[in-house]
Amino acid sequence: MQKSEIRAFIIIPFTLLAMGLVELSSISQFYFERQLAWAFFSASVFALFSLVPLKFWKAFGIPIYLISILFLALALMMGGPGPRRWLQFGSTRFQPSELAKLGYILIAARILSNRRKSQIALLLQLGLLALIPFLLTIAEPDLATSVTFLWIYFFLLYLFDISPFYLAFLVMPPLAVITSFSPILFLILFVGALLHSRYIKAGLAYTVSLLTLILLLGFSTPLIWKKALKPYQRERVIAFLAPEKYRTGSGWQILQARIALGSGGFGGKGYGRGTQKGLSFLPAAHTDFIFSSFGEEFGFAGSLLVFLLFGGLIYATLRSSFRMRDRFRRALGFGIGAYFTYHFLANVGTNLGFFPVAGVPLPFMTYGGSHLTVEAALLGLLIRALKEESSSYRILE
Amino acid sequence: MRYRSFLYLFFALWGLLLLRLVKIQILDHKQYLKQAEKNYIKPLRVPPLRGKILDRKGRVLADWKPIFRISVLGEKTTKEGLTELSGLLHVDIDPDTIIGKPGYIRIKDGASLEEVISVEEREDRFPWIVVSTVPTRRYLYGGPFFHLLGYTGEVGPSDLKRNPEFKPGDIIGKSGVEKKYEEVLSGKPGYRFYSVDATGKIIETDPRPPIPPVKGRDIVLTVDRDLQLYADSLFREYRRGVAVALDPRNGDILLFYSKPYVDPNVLSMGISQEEWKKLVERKDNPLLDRCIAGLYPPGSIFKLVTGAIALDLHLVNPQDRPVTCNGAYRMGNRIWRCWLPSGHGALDFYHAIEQSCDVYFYYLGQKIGLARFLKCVRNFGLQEKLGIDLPGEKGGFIPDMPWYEERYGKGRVPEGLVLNLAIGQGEILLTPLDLAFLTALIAMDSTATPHVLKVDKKSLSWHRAPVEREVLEHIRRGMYLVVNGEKGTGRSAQIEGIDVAGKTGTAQNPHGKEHALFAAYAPYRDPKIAIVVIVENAGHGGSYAAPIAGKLIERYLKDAEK
Repeated sequence: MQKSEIRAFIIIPFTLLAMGLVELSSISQFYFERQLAWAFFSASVFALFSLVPLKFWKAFGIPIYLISILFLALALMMGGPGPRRWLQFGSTRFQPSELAKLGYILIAARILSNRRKSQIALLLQLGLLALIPFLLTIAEPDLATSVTFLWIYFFLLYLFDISPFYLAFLVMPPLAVITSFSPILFLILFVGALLHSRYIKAGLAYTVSLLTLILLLGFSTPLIWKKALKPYQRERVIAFLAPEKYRTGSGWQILQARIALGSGGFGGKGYGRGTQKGLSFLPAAHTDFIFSSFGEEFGFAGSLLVFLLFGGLIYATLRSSFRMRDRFRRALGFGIGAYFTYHFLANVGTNLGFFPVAGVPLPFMTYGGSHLTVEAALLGLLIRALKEESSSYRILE
Repeated sequence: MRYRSFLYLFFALWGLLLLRLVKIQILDHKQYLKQAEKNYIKPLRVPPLRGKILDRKGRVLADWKPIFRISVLGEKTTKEGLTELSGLLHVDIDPDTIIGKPGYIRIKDGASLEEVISVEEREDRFPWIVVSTVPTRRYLYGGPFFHLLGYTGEVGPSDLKRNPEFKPGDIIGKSGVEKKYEEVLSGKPGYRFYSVDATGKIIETDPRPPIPPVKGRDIVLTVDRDLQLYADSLFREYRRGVAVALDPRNGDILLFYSKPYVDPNVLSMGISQEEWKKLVERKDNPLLDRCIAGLYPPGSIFKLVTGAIALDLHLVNPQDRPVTCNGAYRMGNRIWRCWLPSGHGALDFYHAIEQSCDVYFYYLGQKIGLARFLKCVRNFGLQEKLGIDLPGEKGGFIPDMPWYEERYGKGRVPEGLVLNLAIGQGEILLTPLDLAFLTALIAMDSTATPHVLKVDKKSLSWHRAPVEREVLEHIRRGMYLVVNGEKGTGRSAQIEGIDVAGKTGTAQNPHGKEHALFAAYAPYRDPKIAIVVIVENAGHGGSYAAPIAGKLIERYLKDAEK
């Protein structure tokens, strides 16, 4: 069983990588060659992480996290006008937010491995550690990437059985922000929060503070929307809501992505025959929209394969993580699972027009070395964890 | 089991995305495929060949020639690119009407080879351009046919509203035959398709098979090319004038000449607004089709109408000499002068026409009386449009009693007005076509509505003169004498071997010299052509218009014999 899972963690990512490379070569020889080089580099990173004992990474997580925070701050300080997401090293650019994801997963797993910590301590410590990269990336600005940290944070807590008593405080406020634009949805949320308080038999103080928080956020968000958000951020959200009205800019991109996918049909237009990406109507075909670009040329058959591979990868990750008895390994596995779920849902959701242009990579397929390297590291850690789990399991037996 | 619920949550979302994927890639596939094609396949309207215009003998008056057309893909254009292009092509471009507009928009027709090359050399700066070779109208004889044929030009906003078939940039007939028979001539445009990339650059021609245009139908006119060109040569020394001829037997327009004119080849290539303004403001009004929209006092030609009315009312016997001309006519305490100060003496009806004696017709006018005169003149129907198949025709101006009563007050209209009207001076104005029609009516007793398109005899509509038949015979005898009599005023219209009947006219006008008019038909006993010639500001009709009319009749009848 575990052997087949290990195989899944090698075969699935390799297939996705190969599919990504095929599509990149159809888009541009330049991207293909560079990504191929990154693939070889990532293979060695994968080897490194899968060969070095986990306890080393458990310790090394702290410096990785700290360095990534330092880099994030550096990128913010050094960047010129426009988004400050990259650090330049010679001819290559490096995205410190990707490293921060790895750092956060490692450091969070380490904290979660301590079974003596109280729920509230976990909640606060993990929250603080997520908040720092969250704020640094949102300042870049890179909204979608910054949400990664919150996602991983929340689902780690959830999977580690943190009481709904606390979780409500994590989930309801963001929901209050989102629903504040729709009075009906907001009302449902408010009633839901009330019922939740009743259900867990919370005291008056809890109920009042939760409801106050929801009301506060619900009413302040529209104000912040109008006053504090940058025009391009607002435009992205609006364009998402009505892409046909915004034929240029981000709405244009979403529409073109959908046209690319839709025009691919069941069988696709064939390798190198995509007119949307080939005639450059589809912007960022090699990055944010590689799924659409792939789907245009390989059709529903190709897209479905991507869906199945990601479904399988995520299922295998979560299932094998769940089975791990060691708290650090389990936390690590769940963190990695949360990483893949978020990136798959956010990226493909964007390609399908569910979200405004998010700008998170599709794991293994999107062009770019930073995320590929980090994903290789995550896979290495996962395999290492499985191996160590099975050997300790065997010893225990 | 938090782990399971998380798994369920993920796969619920995964399934939701998958459903959406199915909707986009499978259910809505066709619609998106269309949009993708619309993204990169751009149709270019290919203008059809306009039908040729031929003269009565099948000789070509208008066909086509190839020109370079430059169009731009509006949705891809940029302001800078258009500005640069405007300089290279020497053409005004309004970026607001082009930027962001979908599809190809024509910006210049008839670009020179140098302009085309200079644009193609800079292809990287305007990837959204396309140069095509298209047919454009060619008028083989230019100006002399301008008022008849009209010209073609880009469809205007009002045409677009009127006819949904038109698309901006289409070429349509703007005047004359081109406008009247637009639907016959125009044909149907076709399409060529180009694949373009996101910048608008053409990367493939004909990704879809082109839709070929449908050629318009040729039309055959009733005019005679040689007669028209001959008229132009006869008018060489005059700056303004008209010559209209028709076949009195069927209403065929044989000659339709109005001077000054402009070259329709130039207008059809499109001229700038300034040039157009200059044309419109020119004092000699070259855009006015004098044949059907020029209103002239008919002068002495109108004595034919006065005479016909008097005879029809039996107010005078044509053999009688009811009045003696001593150079003036007295009515009440006013004196009206005859054009011949020494006087014509006593004349019968025929010689009064021959010598165009004013006094004789003053007398007739007085006998008819103003109210009756106006009523009888209006019976000829010349105040209405005749209904020629050309745009822009005007009816003649023939006032009625209420019109005079409004000017002078009821019961205060001076009776003496009728004297001026009786000799064709005063308020009555007619077009040259009206005069030609009147001449044909006198020559044949009845004639068909004038027309320029050759049609079946059955589809003609006929008009009868509103007087008795014998009356017209008396008029014709008078007209015969005008040209052939010893003292005829139109003797210069005489032709060897052909009897011509005619009537001179000299129309006073406030601007400069008098207009010379001459109306005639021939042969006298077997009318085949009725003609009106007007030379503006030339002088006496007999001296200037009659010789031209004579030569034109001669040319036409001799050509017809061949």
